[in-house]
Amino acid sequence: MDVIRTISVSKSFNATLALDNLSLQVNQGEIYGFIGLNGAGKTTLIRILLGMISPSSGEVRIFGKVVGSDFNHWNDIGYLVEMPYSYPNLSVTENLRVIYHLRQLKNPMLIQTIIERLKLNRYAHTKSRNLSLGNQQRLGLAKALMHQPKLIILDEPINGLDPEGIVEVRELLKELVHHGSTVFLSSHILGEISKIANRIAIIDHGRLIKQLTADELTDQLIKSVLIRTNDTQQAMQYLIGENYQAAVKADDEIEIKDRRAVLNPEHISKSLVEKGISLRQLYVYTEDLEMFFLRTIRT
Amino acid sequence: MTGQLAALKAELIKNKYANIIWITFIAFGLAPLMGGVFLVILRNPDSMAGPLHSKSLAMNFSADWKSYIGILTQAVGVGGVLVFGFVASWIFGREYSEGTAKDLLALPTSRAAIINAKFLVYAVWSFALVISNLLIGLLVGALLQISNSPIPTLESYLSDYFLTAVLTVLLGTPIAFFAIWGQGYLAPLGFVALALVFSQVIAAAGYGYYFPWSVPGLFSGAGGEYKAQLNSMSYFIVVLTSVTGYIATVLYWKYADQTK
Repeated sequence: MDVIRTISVSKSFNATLALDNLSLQVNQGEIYGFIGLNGAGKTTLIRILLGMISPSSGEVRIFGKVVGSDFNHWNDIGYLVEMPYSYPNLSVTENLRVIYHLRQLKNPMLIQTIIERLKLNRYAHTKSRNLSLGNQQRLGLAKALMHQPKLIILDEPINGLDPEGIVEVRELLKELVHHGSTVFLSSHILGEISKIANRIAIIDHGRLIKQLTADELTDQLIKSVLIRTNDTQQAMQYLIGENYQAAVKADDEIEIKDRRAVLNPEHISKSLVEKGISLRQLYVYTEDLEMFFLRTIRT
Repeated sequence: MTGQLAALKAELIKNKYANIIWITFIAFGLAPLMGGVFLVILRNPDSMAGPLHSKSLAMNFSADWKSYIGILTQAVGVGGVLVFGFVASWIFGREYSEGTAKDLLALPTSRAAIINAKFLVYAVWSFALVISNLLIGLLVGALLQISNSPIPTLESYLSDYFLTAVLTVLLGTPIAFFAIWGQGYLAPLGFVALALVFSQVIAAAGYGYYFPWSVPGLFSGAGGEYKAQLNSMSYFIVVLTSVTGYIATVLYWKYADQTK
């Protein structure tokens, strides 16, 4: 069952086309990573999903209902859009109380629970203007997650967090998904997206240019074997003779792109040694999401 | 109704520690104190002659309750445009300046309820300023021993005082619209400044009875004999401006693209 479905959504701001005929769907229980350069249209789509911006054309459905003035499932959605601003003269608890009332929640323990969950106990009575960027981010997440929503829409949720905070948020999101929530996550920290997303979408100039599962992504990442030997020329002769796609790169490094080499690098090592060629380095390189992303948007 | 109550509770928490509240009370409270200064000057014309003495004479100010409450009423009619406008600018513009507007847009509490709560806080805050000035005025008047009792005069001038306040408070709705449209304080404060300047110029030109921001000042007696020019159309224009401002604010908040 799809939790989010956008159907040919376009959005123009005067002459600027921010989103161009974008269709995607996010299934229940998945973490959907949404990546793109600054200005690609990520935040515009998130604001459209949240009813803050109306699409110029197309339709957005969440939980099967069209997002518009009649949409009334807002308590099933938690969100964090761009910078996590809060009322600077109010404490962490008071800021959460504002959202608690606006969400018309009935269990006051929710505030304390989310404070503890996001490790904000020490700062519960600290005014938000005195919080570090990381703790402001935690407060933003607390506002998004306090009511235990079924759908969590997060725009750059780990901005400003220290490594420990990043791991905590990652574990928290995984836990929420484990309990049935769905996460729509936009971030420019692609390494983080690759660690937690089940599916990834790449947006560029307002257009969805690729959408793939984590397994499909793994298949599509460029992999190669990189070796250095004591005799580059002889090693190349041998590899080409064995029909490997080998090429010499900078610093006498040989790159072999064959799948059989990637799957069995030990065969190359063994064969070269048998030919009297000593190996100085053998390394299986896997393209990261960052490189994949750049390669995708440049082609 | 539940949503409206929820929005009101949230709005009250937001304003809990706002220093700006006390700043507006202090700023607006200067009016009765200035009135007190005029009283002292008028009582001591020989020792305190100067520009303020000339000004008090030019305003036909006399050392009695009638004149003193008249000053307080004019402060509401003219100064209120500025101070209440400042209050409206802050209540509605802060969400953009503090970056919290986006937290108010995708909630079970309707956007209209959130705007209504803000208008309610604006009205209560403005009337609290009005009452505070009246109390300060009575205290200053009593301390300066204007007359034996202010009560008979107060009764006869209280309706003018509060009607002026109502007319001024009504004009806060377009300012709220400019705060939301301009996404911050700058646009509404600019509008307040312009409205204030135009209200003076247009009133001086003799057409203030058709310009909404001149009407409270004229009603308060700040324009002297021009008050007689006010008619039902003048009050209708004020109400129409207020209703238009309210509807524009709600519609813009509900339907315009929110990009900040």
